[in-house]
Amino acid sequence: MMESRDIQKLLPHRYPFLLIDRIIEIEPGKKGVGLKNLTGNEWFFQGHSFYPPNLLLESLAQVGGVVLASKAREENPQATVQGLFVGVSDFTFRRCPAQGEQVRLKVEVIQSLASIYKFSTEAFVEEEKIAGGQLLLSFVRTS
Amino acid sequence: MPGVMTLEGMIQSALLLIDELYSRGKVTGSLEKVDRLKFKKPVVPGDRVEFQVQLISQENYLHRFKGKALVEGATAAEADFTLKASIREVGFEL
Repeated sequence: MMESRDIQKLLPHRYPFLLIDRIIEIEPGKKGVGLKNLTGNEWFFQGHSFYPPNLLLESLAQVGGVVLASKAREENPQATVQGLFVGVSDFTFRRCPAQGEQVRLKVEVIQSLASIYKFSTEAFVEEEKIAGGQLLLSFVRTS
Repeated sequence: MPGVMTLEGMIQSALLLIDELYSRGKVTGSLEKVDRLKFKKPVVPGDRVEFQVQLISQENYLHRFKGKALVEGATAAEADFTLKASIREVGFEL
């Protein structure tokens, strides 16, 4: 399990845009499960009460980034890593998570070609699947 | 600018377009599906982003769009997405 502090060692994202709170399961380079708690006072709730779907995409991509970065750090603790969110395909939203809910973000690498990684992702609230699809991440490491 | 925010820009432009299609101020849209989203170039401070959206098809309340975010004529991001419009009933018509 990884806390927010450990996530910040792997990702360059900070407060307004660090959209995951915790990693509960991780298999470096393969798959991971992250958590996002939606508290009422977060900046994106100003004006409406739902978690914007595009930010849900971003939080899934960040879990993907942790999965890839932890693999690189496992091989070389000093490695500097750089990930980029490059695309989305075939992503469906069933509903938007609301204030007070906890979103479980599940990602799994299904394909990789050179520096591009394709993830199959799903987002759950409790046991209800609220969104799912494929994300593309580019990931480079310099050791 | 984070890539997903350019997607949000495209969505909001499309929502304005949906708003024009129906009687103004009575319709809300929600994102149903995103496909073929590609972030081609990073958008940096100082850039002016132009969002272009085109309605591709419309079935019942599902509207399919093709969107583009342009920075000085070059594509920074593009996507196909579907928005579901719902008609909000507010107050009475007199």
